[in-house]
Amino acid sequence: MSRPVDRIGPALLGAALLAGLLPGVLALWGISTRGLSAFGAVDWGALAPAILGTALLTLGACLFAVPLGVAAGLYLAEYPHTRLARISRFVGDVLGGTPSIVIGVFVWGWLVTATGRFSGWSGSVALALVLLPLVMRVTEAGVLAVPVSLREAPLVLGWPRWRATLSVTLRAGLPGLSIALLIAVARVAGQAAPLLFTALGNPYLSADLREPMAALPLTVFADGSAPGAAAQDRAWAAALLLVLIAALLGIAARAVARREEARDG
Amino acid sequence: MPGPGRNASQEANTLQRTDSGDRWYRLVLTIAVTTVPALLLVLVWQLWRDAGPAIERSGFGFILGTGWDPVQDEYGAAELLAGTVLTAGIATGLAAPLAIAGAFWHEMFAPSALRRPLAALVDLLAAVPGVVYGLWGVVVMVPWCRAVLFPALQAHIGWFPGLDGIVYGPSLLAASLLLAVMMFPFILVTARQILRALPATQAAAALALGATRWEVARYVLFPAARRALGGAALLGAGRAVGEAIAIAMVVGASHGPIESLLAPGYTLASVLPHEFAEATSAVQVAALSYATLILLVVAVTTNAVARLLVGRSIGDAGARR
Repeated sequence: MSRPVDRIGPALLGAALLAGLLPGVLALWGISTRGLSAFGAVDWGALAPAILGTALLTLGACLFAVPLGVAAGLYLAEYPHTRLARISRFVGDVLGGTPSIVIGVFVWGWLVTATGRFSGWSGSVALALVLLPLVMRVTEAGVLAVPVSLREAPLVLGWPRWRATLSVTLRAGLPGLSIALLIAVARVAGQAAPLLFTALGNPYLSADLREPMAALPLTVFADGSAPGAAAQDRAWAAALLLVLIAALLGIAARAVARREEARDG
Repeated sequence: MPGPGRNASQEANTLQRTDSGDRWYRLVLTIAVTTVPALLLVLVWQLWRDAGPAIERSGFGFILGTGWDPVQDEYGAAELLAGTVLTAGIATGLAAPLAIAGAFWHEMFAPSALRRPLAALVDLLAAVPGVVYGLWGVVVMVPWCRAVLFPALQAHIGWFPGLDGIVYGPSLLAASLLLAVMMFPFILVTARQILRALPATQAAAALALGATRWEVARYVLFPAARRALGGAALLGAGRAVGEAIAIAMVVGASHGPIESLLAPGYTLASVLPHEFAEATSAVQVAALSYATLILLVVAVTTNAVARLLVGRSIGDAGARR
């Protein structure tokens, strides 16, 4: 007993979805085709500094942000109703939406002007500041995803809280938490804005974090606007690499989520 | 030495028991979590300090001042702010209705075989870095806009304000369109999370009473989610306000009064990638820091309001399990 609106309404919604997806899919298609042909044409030697740089900068960012963010997230999960928790949670959410270019300008004024040079370290710190609120949030969510019965069982046995959390809760939540952390890290690794005024970019292969450092997103930005086939190839190859990282982690996240769904029923 | 009485009360209250390990544990976690609000304070303080010379020079007048003249060292943020509001507004206006409609279709009407692949695609689109969209925008989208879309817009709805003048490729409208492309998957993901978080009982009750799925979507879910969906759109707008790199690549990088949407322009965020590293005078650096501070205030306000509307349970697209 359906009226016309019951068919037309959903059809319109579906059409809206198609219309919205179309440009994104075209973009993905363009990046894939151009990126793939760039993979064949690009001088990988010229792209190597950016690949190494992104790896090092991201690793450096994790060094700062993961321990701090995990500890902060644990606080939110362990003492959820304190005033400090409520404030930090809200500020963390707001910081998570703060433009990353603002972080770049901030770290420039804080570290780059103080040390008098652009450096890999300052780039790592900038990425870490973007990463920190994300890590805090996924840690809190990861702990809360562990069943309360499992979290409290060791407390009943008389274990101190720190040991219950570190050796039971975190271990139980680890698969989900680690993939969520990886996704957050990948998202930050693709950011150009925090690196523009900190790591700056470097045409030469360098593993010295005290010197300016290249990065894949910086290559996409700088070479994408530069003339010449070689620069364009570098930009498209770097862009496709970034998309591939995001895609692979997305697939991994889905696999883990599905396994946990199957386990939890 | 603990007396027997204290021991007994500890026994009775095992969950509340504290040992010195737990005290250290709490201390370490407290220090860690305090860095987050501290970071926001330091951020504002540092930008305020960097903007000092510009604040001394033009005070709050900077916000409404016009012109951007590195030769005379005279700066005003009004035109940048207008560019930001325009591009983010147009992008939200285009992307949010489509994304929210799409989320309803995905949750209520999509064939079940299509759901997972569709979710994977949308998640991937939301995870593509802004700078990659920027590259696609400047190489593929902008030339298409110049050759096809913008002339067609002028021919058919040229009476619409802002669509007159010479057609350039890089322009405020191109930036708005690219932003809309970027925001669509983000808002869609958020809107889906909102719909999934709604209590299932009302929808089930309506279905049991004989309501069609369309009626459930229209008269049960939509009213219940309206506020939060508005928040999702606002979260998207907050992202659009802060997007610097992608816009910098397609906006045309031009200061001055906004005469047409089809002409090159600038926004608060996109001026930074082009000018901050190349700023020539201390006053220009300060003016750019001042612009950054305004950007921060706009973005934080937008996000805070959006968060209050959306509620806490909804994560953002990047940090989800």
